[in-house]
Amino acid sequence: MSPYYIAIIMLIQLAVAPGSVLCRQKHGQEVAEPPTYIFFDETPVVSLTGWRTAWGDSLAWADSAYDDSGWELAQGSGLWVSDGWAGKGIRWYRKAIFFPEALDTLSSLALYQVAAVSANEIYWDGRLVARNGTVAESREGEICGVSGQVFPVPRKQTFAGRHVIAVRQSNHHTFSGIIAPPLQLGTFNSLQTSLFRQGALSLFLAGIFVITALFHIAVLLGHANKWTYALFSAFCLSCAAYLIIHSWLRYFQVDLGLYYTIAAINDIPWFFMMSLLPVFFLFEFSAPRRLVLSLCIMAETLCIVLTPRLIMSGLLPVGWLEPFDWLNRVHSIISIVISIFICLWAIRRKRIGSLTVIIGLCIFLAGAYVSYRARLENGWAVGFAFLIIVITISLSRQMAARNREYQETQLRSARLELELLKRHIQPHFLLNSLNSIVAWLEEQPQTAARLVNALAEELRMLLAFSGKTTVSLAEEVQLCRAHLQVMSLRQDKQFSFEVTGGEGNERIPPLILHTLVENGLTHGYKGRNTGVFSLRCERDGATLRLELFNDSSIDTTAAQRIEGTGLRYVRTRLEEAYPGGWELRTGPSRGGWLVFIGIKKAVT
Amino acid sequence: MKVLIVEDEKVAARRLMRLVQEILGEKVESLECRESLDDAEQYIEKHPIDVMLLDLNLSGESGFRLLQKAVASSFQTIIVSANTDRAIQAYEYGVLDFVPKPFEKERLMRAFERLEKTGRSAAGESAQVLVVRNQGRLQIIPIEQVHYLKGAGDYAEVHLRDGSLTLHSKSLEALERILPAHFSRTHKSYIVDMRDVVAVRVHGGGKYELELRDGKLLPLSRSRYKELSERLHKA
Repeated sequence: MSPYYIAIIMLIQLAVAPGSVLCRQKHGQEVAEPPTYIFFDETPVVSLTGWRTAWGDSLAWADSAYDDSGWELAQGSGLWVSDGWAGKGIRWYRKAIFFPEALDTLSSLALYQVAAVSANEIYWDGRLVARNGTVAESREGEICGVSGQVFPVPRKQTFAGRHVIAVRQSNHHTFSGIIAPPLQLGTFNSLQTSLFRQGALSLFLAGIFVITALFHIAVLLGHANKWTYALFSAFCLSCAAYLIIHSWLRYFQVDLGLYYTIAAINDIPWFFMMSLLPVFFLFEFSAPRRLVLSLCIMAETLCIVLTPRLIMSGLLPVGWLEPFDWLNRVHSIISIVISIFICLWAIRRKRIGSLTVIIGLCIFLAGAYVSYRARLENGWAVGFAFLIIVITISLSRQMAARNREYQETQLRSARLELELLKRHIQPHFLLNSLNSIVAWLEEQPQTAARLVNALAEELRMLLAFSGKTTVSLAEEVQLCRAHLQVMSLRQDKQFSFEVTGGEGNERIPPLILHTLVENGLTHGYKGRNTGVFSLRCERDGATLRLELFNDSSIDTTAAQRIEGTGLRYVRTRLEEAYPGGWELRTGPSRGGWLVFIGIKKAVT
Repeated sequence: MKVLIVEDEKVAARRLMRLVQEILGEKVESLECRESLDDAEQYIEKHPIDVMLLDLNLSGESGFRLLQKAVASSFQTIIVSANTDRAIQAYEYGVLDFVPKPFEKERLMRAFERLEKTGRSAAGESAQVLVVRNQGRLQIIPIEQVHYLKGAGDYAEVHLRDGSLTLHSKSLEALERILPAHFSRTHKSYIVDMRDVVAVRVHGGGKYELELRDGKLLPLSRSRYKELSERLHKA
C-alpha cells in the first residue's frame, strides 16, 4: 500500500500519531520479545503490534515453537512494515500473544484485516486459519485478497496460554512494497460491533453532508441567486463522497486489486474538500482578489494531490513521494488554518456571519480533538459535520436577513408608488389644473379645451405607468411633454422638451424623468416666460447615459432644498430596477441645472 | 382697500385680479400681484396693505412657515389654495378665510364680506394660536394662554395668563374677526376671554367694569353692558 494513502488515513484519523510514537519508543530494539498479554474482558479488540518479520518462505515459520529472535522487529504500530522495509515478494510476520485466562464459553475469537494490497495466509499456532487471496512468488500468480474480512479462529485453539500468530504474505501488487495496517484480534462479536459502528458512523455523517448539500442546492435554486451556496454544496458533497468511498473500501468486501483505482478516484473529493472550504470563505466574505486567491489555493491543492499519483504512475521520481506525502498529511491542517485567517479578516471587516463561522471552526477543532481522543475512525468528519451545521445556520440567518431586506424594499417601493400616484393624481394637482381651466374658460375657452386635453393625456399615461418596473424612454418622454403642456397652459408660459440621441426603446424606471422635470419646474422659472428641458441619451453597449438639462435660473441653495422626495423617489426606482448598477449626479451646469443618470446594464 | 395677490400661476393670478376688481369696484385703492411671498414682502415694506390673497402650497413644512409669517402681519390673510385638506390648520393659525380652488366669484365675494363685517365672522373655524413677531422671530402663542387683548393704536397688546405681554401687528378689529367666540370685544380698546369674567361692576356715572377671575378689573363699554350682564346671569 502506498505511503501516500497511508498518510491520508493517518491524517484523517488525526494520525493516531502519539500512539505510534509511543510504540516506537516502547518496542525499540528489545532482544527477547515477551508475548503480549491480552485480557479480552478488558479489551475486547486489540490491534496487534510489534511483529517480527523476515523475507523468505517456509511453512516451518508458522510453527509456534520456531525461534524468530533473529528476525527483525517491525517498527511502528500503524504499519506492519515501515521505513526501510519496502520490498516485494513473500515474507512472514510472527507475533506471540498470551491469554492468562480462558475465554468464556460463549465467545470465540476472530481476526480482522484492514484493507491492504496483498495476499495473506494467517496461521494460528502453526495451523492455517485464514486465507485472503492467493500468496505467490510472482505478480502473475498472486491474487489480492478482499478488504474488510473477519476471520474466525477455531475455538478449540483459543485456550488459555501462549499462542503464535504467523502471517505469510505476498505484496506484488503494491506500488512501493510498503503495506499497512495491522491485524486486529478480538472476540468475534466485539469485532463485528466495532466494524459496524465505524461503518455506520461514516455513513451517518455522509448522510448529514448529503442532506446539507441538498438543502443548499434547494436554497440556491429556490431563493437566493448566490453561487457561494453552490460552492458550499460542492464542499459538502465532496465530504460525503470521500466518506462513502473510504468506508466502502474499509468495511465492505472490495477486491484489493482495485485499491489504487478507487484511491485515485477518491482523490477527486479529497481535492475539493481541501480546496473548497477556504475558497468558500473567500467568496462568502467577499475578500479582495478572491478569484486570484481561490485559483492559487486550488492550483496548490491540485499539485499536492496529483503529484503522488504521478509518482506512482512512474512519471516522477519515487524519491519525491516522501515530501509530498508529508505535505498531503498536513494539508487539511493548512486549509483549516487558511480558513481561520480568512474568517479573522472577515471579523475585522465586520462581515455578516464571520463570527458564527469562526465559532464553527473552533467547534470543528474541538470535535476533531474529542474524536481523536475517543479514537474514532472518522473523527474529522464529526468536526466537519458540526462546522457545516454552524455554517448552514449562519447562511440561513443571512438569507432571512436578505429576505427581510427584500420585503422592505418591496414595501418601500409600493409606498413610493402610492406616494407618487398621490402626488400626481392627487386632488391638489387636479384642483389647481381645474382652477386654471376655469380661468381659461372665462378668458379664452379654446385654451381651456387644450388644457383639458393635455391634462387627460397626462392622466392616461400616469395610469398606464402604475405598477410597471420599467417603461420605454419614448413613453416617458411623451409623459414629460404632456406634463409640460399642462404646466405651460396653467402658467401661460412656453415649456418645451427636446430629445437628442437614443432610439426610444431604451428601458428606464417609470416617472423618473417626469419627477426630474417636476423638480425643475418647481423652482427656477419665476418671472420667465419660456423654459427648455433637453434630454441627451447615449448608449454604449449595455450602458445607458441620460443627461437632463434645464435652463432654469435656479440658485444652488434652492436646488439643495428640493433634493427631497423627488430625488429620493428617482434613486429608489433606479435601485429597484438596476440594483447597484446605476449612478445619479445633479448639479448646476452652464446656465441651468443638469441631472446625469448612468445605467450600467440597461435592458433594451 | 389695498389688496395684494400672491399667486405663482399667471392664469390663476389674472383671474383673481379680475374678480377682485369686479367685487370691490370703486373700493379698490391698490391691487397688485406677486409670484412669491418673498417678492410680496418687498412690496409690503413700502406699501401697506389691508388684505393678502395668498396661494400657498401647504402640503409641506415650508408652506406653513410662510403662513405663520403672513398671519403675524398687520393685514388679514385669505388663503386661496387647492390644499383643502389643510384648511382647518390654516384657520387655526388665524387666517380670515380659506377659499378652496377652484372657486366661483360668489365664494370670493363672501371672503371679502367677512373682511368688512365688524365683529366675529360667521364661519365656525377660528384661530387656535396667535402668531406674533417677537424680536424678529415668529412666536406661536396657543389661544389658551391669552388672557385679554388691549388695543394700542394699530397694534394690539396681547396679555397672557402668566402676566407677560407681547405685541401683535394686527389691530383689535382684525383680531376680533379671527379669534374664537369666547373672546368678546368688551370695550373699544379691549377683547376679553369671557370665560374668565366673574362679575360686572357698576360704578356711578355710567362707568362699568368687568372683574376677572384673578381680580383684575377691565373697563366695559356701556353699549356692551346690557348684553353681557344678561349673558352672565344666564350662566
